[in-house]
Amino acid sequence: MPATADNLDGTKIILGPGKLYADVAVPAAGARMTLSSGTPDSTENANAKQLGLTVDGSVITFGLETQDFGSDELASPHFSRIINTPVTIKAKIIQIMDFTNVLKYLMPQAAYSTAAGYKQMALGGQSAITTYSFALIAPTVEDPTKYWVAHLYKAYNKNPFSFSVTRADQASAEIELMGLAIATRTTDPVGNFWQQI
Amino acid sequence: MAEKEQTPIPAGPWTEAKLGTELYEKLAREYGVLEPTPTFRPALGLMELYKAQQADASAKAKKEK
Repeated sequence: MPATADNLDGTKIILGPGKLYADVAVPAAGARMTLSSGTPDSTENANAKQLGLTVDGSVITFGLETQDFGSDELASPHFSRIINTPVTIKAKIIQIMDFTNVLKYLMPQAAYSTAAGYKQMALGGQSAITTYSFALIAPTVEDPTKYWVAHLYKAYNKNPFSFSVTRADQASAEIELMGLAIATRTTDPVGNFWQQI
Repeated sequence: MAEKEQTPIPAGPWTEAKLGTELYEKLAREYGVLEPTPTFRPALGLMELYKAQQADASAKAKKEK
């Protein structure tokens, strides 16, 4: 009888760096965003902005919360159901002094404005959360001309925007982009995780 | 492939500023299957659908020649 082939492939690993973008276009239902040289295609994603430098890259979490059901007769659960599937992207950003391209997208508790001589985030008075579409893009190890993408269609930074100001180190702010579902989309309501082949 | 009765997709970028609110919301519902809200008004990624429509239109034009 034939043996099962090994599946040991060092090119199937993920190794960054990746690039995190805000305000990318939301693709048609079931489709994927258009890339150009590993970045959002600038025609289709006219508003896309890279969120700049990070301390130590990004962390993606495809969360899974389940409810197990058991019985008196069995010592292990006999059924599980998915209750919640939160998807998040975390990063420690350091381009904090970039109001137009970074802060604007990461402070739902503030309102961005600019005019001659200043850029500002007005604090307070917000109740509705403005959401954006965020995407993390990185090349594959197998073929650096091909890329993988983790895309949240409707997300916001749920972390308080907090950073230290000290002479000893650069300031960084930890963000956590939380993906919300678009209620009208059935097959991909929150986003997608895909690779070019 | 897009159905015939659907709204033809104009050239990108498909932002609300370029399309105008009425067409933007129509395209978002028809092709993006999303309901724009006051706090969520993304550009729409319609490149593949747009290309398919363009190819379809040029194929028809060739046929008619």
